[in-house]
Amino acid sequence: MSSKPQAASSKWNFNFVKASKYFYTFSIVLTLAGILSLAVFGLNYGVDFRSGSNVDVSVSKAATQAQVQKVLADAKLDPEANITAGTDRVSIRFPEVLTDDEVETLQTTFNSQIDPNASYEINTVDVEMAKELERNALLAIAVASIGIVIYVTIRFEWGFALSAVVALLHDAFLVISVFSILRLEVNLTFIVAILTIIGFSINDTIVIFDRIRENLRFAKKQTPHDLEDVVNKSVSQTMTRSLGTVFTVFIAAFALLVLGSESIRMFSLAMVIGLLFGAYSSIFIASPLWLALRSKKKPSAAKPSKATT
Amino acid sequence: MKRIVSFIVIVLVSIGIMVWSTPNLLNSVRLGLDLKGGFEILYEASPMTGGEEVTRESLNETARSLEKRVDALGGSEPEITTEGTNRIRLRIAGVTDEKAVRERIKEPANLTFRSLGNSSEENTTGSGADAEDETAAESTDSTNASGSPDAAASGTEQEGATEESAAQADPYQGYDKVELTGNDFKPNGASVQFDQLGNPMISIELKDAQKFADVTGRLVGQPMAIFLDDQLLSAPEVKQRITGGTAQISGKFTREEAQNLRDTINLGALPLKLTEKYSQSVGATLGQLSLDQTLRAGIIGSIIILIFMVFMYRVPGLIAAFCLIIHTWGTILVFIWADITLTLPGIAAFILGIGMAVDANIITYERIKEEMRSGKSIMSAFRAGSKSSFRTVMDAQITTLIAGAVMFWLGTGSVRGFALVLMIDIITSIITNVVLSRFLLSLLVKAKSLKKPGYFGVKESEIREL
Repeated sequence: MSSKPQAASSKWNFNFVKASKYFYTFSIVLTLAGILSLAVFGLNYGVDFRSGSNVDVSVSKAATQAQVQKVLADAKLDPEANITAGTDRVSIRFPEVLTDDEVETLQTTFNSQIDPNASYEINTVDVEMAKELERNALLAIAVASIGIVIYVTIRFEWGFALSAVVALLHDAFLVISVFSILRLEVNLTFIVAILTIIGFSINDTIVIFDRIRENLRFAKKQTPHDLEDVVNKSVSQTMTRSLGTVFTVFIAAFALLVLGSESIRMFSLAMVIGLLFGAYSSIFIASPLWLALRSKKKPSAAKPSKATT
Repeated sequence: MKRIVSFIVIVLVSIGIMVWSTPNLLNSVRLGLDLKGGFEILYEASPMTGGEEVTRESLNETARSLEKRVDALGGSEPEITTEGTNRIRLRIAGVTDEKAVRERIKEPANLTFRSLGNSSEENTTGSGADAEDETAAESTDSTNASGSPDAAASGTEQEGATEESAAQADPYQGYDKVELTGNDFKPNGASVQFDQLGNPMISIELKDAQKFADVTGRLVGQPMAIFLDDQLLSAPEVKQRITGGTAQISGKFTREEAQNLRDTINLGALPLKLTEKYSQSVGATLGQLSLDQTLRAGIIGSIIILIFMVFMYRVPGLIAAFCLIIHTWGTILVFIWADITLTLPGIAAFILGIGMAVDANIITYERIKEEMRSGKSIMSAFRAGSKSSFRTVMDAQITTLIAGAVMFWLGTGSVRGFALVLMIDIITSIITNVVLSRFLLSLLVKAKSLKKPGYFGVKESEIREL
C-alpha cells in the first residue's frame, strides 16, 4: 500500500471497460485450460476422496524414511504405503483402510522403534462419503447462486445478478482449475475454501455494483458510451476500497497459509488464490459483463416488456 | 464535552470488561476434536437381516443407545447426532481409550426378555380359556431405571436356580434365562397405546404366537424382565398365558418412557448394523499444535490488519481497530453461550470474518474521505458517507449471509460448522463494525474534536473547492 492517500478518484483512472477484452481472453483461456486439465488429469484427490487411511504422526525427534519403512515391515503393514518423513512430522498414507488392530500395531511399533512420545492423527475414509460431500457442496453452490440471483435482482436488477453469479462461478472454477493444473491436493477443507471464496467474491462484486447503481441515477443514459463512463468511474471510485479489503483478507489468509496448521494449508492456499481471482473478477469481469448485458438489451429497451429501472 | 466523556467511558468500560473476562472466556470455548484430540466416526446404519428399511425411530434409538454405552465407558461428553436417513455421527473429544469405545459401539443392540431361570412347569396348563384376553401382562416395575427387580418374585420358588446368578457382579440381577430375543418380535410391531384411563402402555407383537404362549404359560405369576444389553428396562409380571401373539405391557409409564421402551423393542426386533464410513482421530498433542499454530497465525494476521487500518484511516481507523477487538470478543462470547464447538475450519472462518468486518469500516471510511475531498465539512461528510455506505455494507453482508445460510442448510460436517461461524461472524460484525463503530465516530465528530481532515487520513491539498 502506498503511503500517500489518493487524490479523489484520479489515481485509478483507467478504461476498465476497454481493457476488459484482454481480461476476458485471459479468463476464457484459463477456463479452457481448466476444463482440459480436469478432463485429462482430473483433480489430485487427497485421502478424503480416496478410500484408505492417512496417518499423521507428530514426532519429537526426526525420523527417516528408512526407519518408518522398517516400522511398517515389522508391523506387517502394506509396504506400498506412501511415506513422507520430516523433522517434526511423519505422514504415512495407506491405499487401504487400516483395521483397529493394525492401527494399534503401527502405534506400538512406531513408539518402540522411533519415538515413544509420538502423537497420531488418523483419518479413514470411505470414498462415497467424500463424493457425497462434494455433491452436497456443488448443490449448495447452485442453490446459493439462485438465492443470490433472487436477492440481487430484487435489490438491483437481473443484469447485475447474472454478472455477479458469472463472476463467482468463474472464481470458484478457476481455483479448481489451478488446483488441477498444479496437481495440488484436494481434500474436504478445499470444498469449504471454495464456498468461502464464493462468499467473498459476491461481497466484492456487490460493492462495485452498488456504486454503479448509484452513479447511474445521476448519469445520462443515452449512449453505450455514457454507460461505459459510469462503469469506469464506479470501478475507479471503489478501487481503493477493493484493494484495501483484499489486502486485509489476504493478510489473514496468507498468515494462515504461512503460519497456520499443516492440516489447513491447502485450505489457506485455495483461499489466497481465490481471493486474488475474486478481486480480479469483480473489477475486470463482472462490471464489463454487466455493461455488455445492458448494452445488448439497449436496442430492445424501447419495448416496455423487459425494461428495468 | 459530554460526548467526549461518554466516548471515553464506553471505550474504557469495554476494555475493562474484555480484560477481566477474556482469560475465563478462552478456557470455556468448547474445542472440537481436531484442536483437543479425540475422534470422530461416521456410521452408516443398515438392518442386520437385510430387506427392511431403517426407520427414523430405530435410528434415533440406536443413537440413544450409543450415547448410553459411551457414557458408561466414561467418555467425555460424547456428541452423537443422526444425519440424513441412515447415518450416525459420533464425536468424542479428549478420550483416552479409543479402542474400547470403538469395539463397544460396534456390537449391535441386544434386546432380551429374561426370566429368573427356574421354569415352573405346572403353570403351562390351565389358563388356556381366557387366552384371547389381550391385557395379559401387567408391569410390577414400570420404570426403566435399573432398580432392583420385584423382590417378591425373586423370593419364592427360585432360590435354587438363582444361587450362582445372585452373585453381586451379575448384571442381569438373577434374570439369567433368555426367554425371548429381539428376533422373536415382529419388526416395528411395538406401539404405544392408551388404556381407558389414558395411561400409556406398550403393545407388542410376536412372530411366533405358539412360542410366546409357551413362554408366558410357563411364567404366569413371575416377572419377565426386559433388557437392552445389560441394562434392565422394565420387569412386568406375566398375568396369564398369552396365545394371540400380541400383548400389552402396562404400568406407571410416562408417555416418554413408553415411547422409549417401544423404540427399544422395535430396535431390538430389527437391530441396526453400523458400518464405519469415515473416521478421524487426532492425538492430543497434534491437536494442541494445530490450535497454537492457527491462533498464532490469527493473531499476527489481526495485528497487521489493525496497523493497516490505523495507518490508512487514522482516528476512525483506531475506532475500527477497537471495534474489531470487541467483535472478536463478542463472537467468542456467542460461541460460549450457544455452546458451539470450535473446530479448525471454524477458526479459519473466524479469522476471515475479521477481514469482512474490517471491510465494513473500509467501505464507510473510504466514502467519508471521498465526501471530504469533494469539499464537504467533516460533519456533513460523515453524515453523507455513513448513510450511503450503510446500504452498500448491508447489501454485501446480506448476500454473503445468504451464501452462509445455504451452506449451513445443505452442508454436512465441517461445511456446516464453517457456515455457522461465518453467519455468527457476519451478524456480530454488523453490530460492532457497523453500528458501534459509527456511533463512536459520531460522538467524536459531533463533539467537534476531529477538526482536521488529517485525522481521517485526508490531506488538505486533496480537498476540492466547492
